[in-house]
Amino acid sequence: MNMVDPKPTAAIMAAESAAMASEAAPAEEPLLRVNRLRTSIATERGRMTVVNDVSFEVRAGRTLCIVGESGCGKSITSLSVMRLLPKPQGRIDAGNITLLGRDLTTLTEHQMHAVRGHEVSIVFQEPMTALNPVYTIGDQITEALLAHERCGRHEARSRVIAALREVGIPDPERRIDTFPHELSGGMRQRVVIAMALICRPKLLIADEPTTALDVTVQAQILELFRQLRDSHRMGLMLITHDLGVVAEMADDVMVMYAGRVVESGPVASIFNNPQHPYTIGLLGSLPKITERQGRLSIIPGTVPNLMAPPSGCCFHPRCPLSTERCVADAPPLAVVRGPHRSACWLAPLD
Amino acid sequence: MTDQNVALPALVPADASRGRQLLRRLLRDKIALFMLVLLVVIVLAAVFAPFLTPFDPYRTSLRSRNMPPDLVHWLGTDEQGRDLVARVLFGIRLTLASGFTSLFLGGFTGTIIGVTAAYYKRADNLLMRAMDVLLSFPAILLGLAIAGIWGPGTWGIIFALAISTIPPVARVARAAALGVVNQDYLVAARALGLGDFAILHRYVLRNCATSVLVYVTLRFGQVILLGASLSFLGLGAPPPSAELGTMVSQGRSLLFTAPHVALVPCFALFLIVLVLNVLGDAARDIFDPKVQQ
Repeated sequence: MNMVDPKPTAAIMAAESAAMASEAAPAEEPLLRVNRLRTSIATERGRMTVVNDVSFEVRAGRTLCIVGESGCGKSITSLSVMRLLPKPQGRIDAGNITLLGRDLTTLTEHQMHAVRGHEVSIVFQEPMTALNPVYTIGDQITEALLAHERCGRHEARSRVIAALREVGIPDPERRIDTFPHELSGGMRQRVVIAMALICRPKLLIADEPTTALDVTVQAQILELFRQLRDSHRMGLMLITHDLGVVAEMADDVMVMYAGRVVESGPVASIFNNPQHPYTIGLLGSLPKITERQGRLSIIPGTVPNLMAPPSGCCFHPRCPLSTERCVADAPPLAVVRGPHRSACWLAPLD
Repeated sequence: MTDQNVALPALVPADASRGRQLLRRLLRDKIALFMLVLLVVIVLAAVFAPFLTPFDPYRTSLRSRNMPPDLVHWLGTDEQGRDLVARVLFGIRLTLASGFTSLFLGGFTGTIIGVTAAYYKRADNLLMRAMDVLLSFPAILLGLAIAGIWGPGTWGIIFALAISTIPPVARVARAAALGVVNQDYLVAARALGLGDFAILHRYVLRNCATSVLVYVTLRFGQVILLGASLSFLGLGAPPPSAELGTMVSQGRSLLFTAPHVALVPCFALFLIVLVLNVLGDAARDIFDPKVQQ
């Protein structure tokens, strides 16, 4: 368990370009480095650890996809990074979140105001409710801008128009004065993205940004994310349960299950050679366009209750390969090959 | 970029149509419209009272006491020979002004308390239990207490009414704000780095303004009635001043010999409260987004 080491990610880049891992250029400091994060939520029946021992990093201009079923801690991970956990129930119990060399877990709420929207922004799943219904979209984006930068009314307006144009909203001079209810879901998501990006954050977290949109709009929004990531050299942390999106977008993938990382590595390696039964199950439940298939396979059972997690490996009750060792001990996230890691006693799997 | 394919939603001139829509709903409600006209007339009469009547509401005339309505004194005179038209006009003036002031004070404070309670969950219990305590004091008791401390007077009544307005407004504001606090756009606003004040003001307050305003309009009639009761009990401005409640209480003793002395201010009160209540109901219907015909 030594994810703090920057070398694995350097190795990913190197492996992808078919170069030697050790020859990689001196690793740039990652934008975001999360180290052994543990987050818990207070419930009526006690405290529940929903994110446990999660480490990852995001680099400038690259995309990390976090995948997993509902309730496996993806969103809480992103809210932890933003320090936007539900008050007063949510709490970061352990770990560091280092953004641009600063540990966010040590900042005060007031200091966080300056970080949110400025250095890191988040786009949520539901564009229909993410905008304040009583203000025009222009007012709202301007507000996001003025929260971090001083600028005159005219300059602000032209910057907002530019931002709207950048996210592909046609006729932004006119749209700037419309209210959210006049826009379609895809348009609203574009507005939300424009709002998140108006102060040029270094890191963008997108929490299932396309789940609520229909498929054609999804593709457009993803394309937009990719463009913006490349043009601003932003780090992108994309949370999704859609493996199609992962294949489309990711450089690196992190698979979460029951609040833990079960597998992580470069996208090609994970898709071609999954090393955890859960990932194999996820991939198996995806239809393939190239093959005729009968029924899609499913993973039996549901995500475990985190109040009473199973012994040993959290996945063992649903795992087809489960052994006695899996029931007794939790496997560590160990290197399979290069940057590819898996938390399974049986790895490497064939 | 593939956004050329994005379907453009039809642009409707929304802000204009919103105002027009509300106006249309108001125009459809004939009774409310009539009451609105009546309210405007009453308010104008109160504002321009000194110019509408040649009589001084305070000048007594022992020769013309308790006169029934005639061509000179349209509504007659009271037991000290003061013209009732002038007295009632000035009374309405005082009543509306003190009602509005107390409503404003109470509504403002109550809204702040309610919104704060909803937003800062830690303060919720403390603030709302304090409101419950306040709610358990009848306004009359508050009025008595304040009159006991300051002596009777209009400001005492205003404060008693304001304080009794705070808890229900706080409850309404809190309920409305709780609906807003859990909305996604509030988390989104925090994610943009907005501070608490900006969020409270521009997000929470704005989104629950309608509920609070509607409640406050509905409350206006009650406040005026309560104020009149307090001055009827002698807690208001001392006798010579023209206050509707005081006038009723003074005319009470003459109910059998000169009933108009008590009935005229009574009717004025009735009219004001009726108009305000009907308008309050209409406001609720007009602003209720669920009543979309």
